Amino acid sequence: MLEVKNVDVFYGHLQAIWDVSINVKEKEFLTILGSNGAGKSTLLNTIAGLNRAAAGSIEYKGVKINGLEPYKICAMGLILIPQGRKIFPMMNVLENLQMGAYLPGPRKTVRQNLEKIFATYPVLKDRSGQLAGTLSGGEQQMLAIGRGLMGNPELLMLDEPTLGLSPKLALDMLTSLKKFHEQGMTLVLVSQETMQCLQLAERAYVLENGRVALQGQCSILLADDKVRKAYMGI
Amino acid sequence: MLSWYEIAHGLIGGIFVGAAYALLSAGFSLTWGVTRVINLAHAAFALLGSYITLTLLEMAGIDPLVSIVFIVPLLFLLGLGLHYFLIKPTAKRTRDITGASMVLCFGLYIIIENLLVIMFKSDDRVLHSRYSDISLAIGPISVALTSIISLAIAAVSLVIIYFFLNRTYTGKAVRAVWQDREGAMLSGINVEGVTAITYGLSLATAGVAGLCLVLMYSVTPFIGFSWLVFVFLVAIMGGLGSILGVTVGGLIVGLIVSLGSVFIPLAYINLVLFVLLIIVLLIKPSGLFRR
Ligand SMILES: Nc1ncnc2c1ncn2[C@@H]1O[C@H](COP(=O)(O)OP(=O)(O)OP(=O)(O)O)[C@@H](O)[C@H]1O
Ligand SMILES: [Mg+2]
Repeated sequence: MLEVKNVDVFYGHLQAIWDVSINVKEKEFLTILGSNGAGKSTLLNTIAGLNRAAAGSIEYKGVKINGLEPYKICAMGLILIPQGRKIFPMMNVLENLQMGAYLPGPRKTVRQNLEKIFATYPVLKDRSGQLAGTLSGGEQQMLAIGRGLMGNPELLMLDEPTLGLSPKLALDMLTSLKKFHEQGMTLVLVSQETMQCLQLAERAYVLENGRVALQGQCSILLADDKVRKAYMGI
Repeated sequence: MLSWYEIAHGLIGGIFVGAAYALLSAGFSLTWGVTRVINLAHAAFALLGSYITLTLLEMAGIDPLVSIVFIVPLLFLLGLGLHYFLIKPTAKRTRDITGASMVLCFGLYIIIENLLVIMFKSDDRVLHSRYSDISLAIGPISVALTSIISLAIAAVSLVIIYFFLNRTYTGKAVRAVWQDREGAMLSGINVEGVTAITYGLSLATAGVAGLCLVLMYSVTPFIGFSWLVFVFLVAIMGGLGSILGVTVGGLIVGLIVSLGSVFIPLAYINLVLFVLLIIVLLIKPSGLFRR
């Protein structure tokens, strides 16, 4: 479904991603792991069109998408929930969600999507008139995901959705992702919570210093002693 | 001894100029907020609105109220052009768009001012329309009909901008781009397109503000600078991108100028305004009325 081939990404003269290739299959639950600064966000932002790939190609559903503007990539059903949420702090919850459905296609499905999102995250319904900037961290994360869901994603990429949440909220968050996957959505999850991600997802890539260091089925990686030592500290 | 009459007169006058300044500042504050561009040429585009009104009336006998239908589309197109041909290419080549665009827009201001001098000479120009020289009595105070028309146009325009920004998808997208550009991109908003619309709206409202001002005052090609001073004050007092704030800021600046001129010589009013501005910046740098 998504095919990233030999991609290099630079910030000015600094290279952050080196010759990275990953692929995502339809209906798959993929996770990308790696320590701080490994290049996970840079990779996702590049796929979503915020950064430019200096070399290599990115294909989604057989169409080359590198170089496209982000809204065109959204329109194809490839949506990123960015690290740091990037919600609109001075708009209320409902307006934030509406913005997620800005494109003509999603604008037709606002009502159904709102119902689904409110069923998954009831707190958003209770706070629909409240300014997004006044929500708690967990609520803001739910809003960011809700805004992404409004765009009818087929492939949803989530960059650190559990960052800054309490362990209980983080668990709820990951459980809700599992539900999306069961409903047929393709997911790419980036997180520092290596253990939980490997248990939740089907396949994993591990990035190190901007390169793919390791990849494979989660069950196999979980069982591997070297992996456990290097990435889970056990 | 000051009379109540003079004070009431100052109050009412303040509301008239204040509303026009609020409209003049709305677009300036919008492009500043949305694109971090400080459009120093903003007042020059307003002046273009004034001169279009004058020319249409004098050459073709077109009523100032009708000239709105020429000013709005024309300046909207100029706004699109400003974005696509000047701001966007500049933004691509620089990291400090605020600084670069200030120089760019200052240059643009000089160009427009000079073109106006070439085309219209630098004399004072007064609009002699069928609304001129008519006064209405509000209690004991007589008010020029042109001031009332100007107030009505400014108020309606501000209400339209407010509804556009708060009730329409595109208007909300303008606010979204202003609040988080990347968040807007990832929501599927065509940020480039929304920014272009913002410039169109900004210059169109500037043009209408120019119409309001030329209804009340005489203009020269050089008056743009003093308008720009007011625009800065209003935008900073009102907070960027808030139409409510801009309206209140405009009225405050209008009242200070108008009431001030009752109490103190006109020459000191700019002094008072800028002291006030510095106080506002020290107390609440984000603007008085920003949420
Ligand atoms: N806007 C930027 N400008 C310059 N360098 C950047 C920028 N963003 C990231 N980098 C650098 O690129 C590298 C990869 O960063 P990235 O944010 O992609 O890592 P990450 O794996 O997402 O880390 P984290 O877990 O902290 O989110 C880092 O060395 C970082 O310092
Ligand atoms: Mg990151």
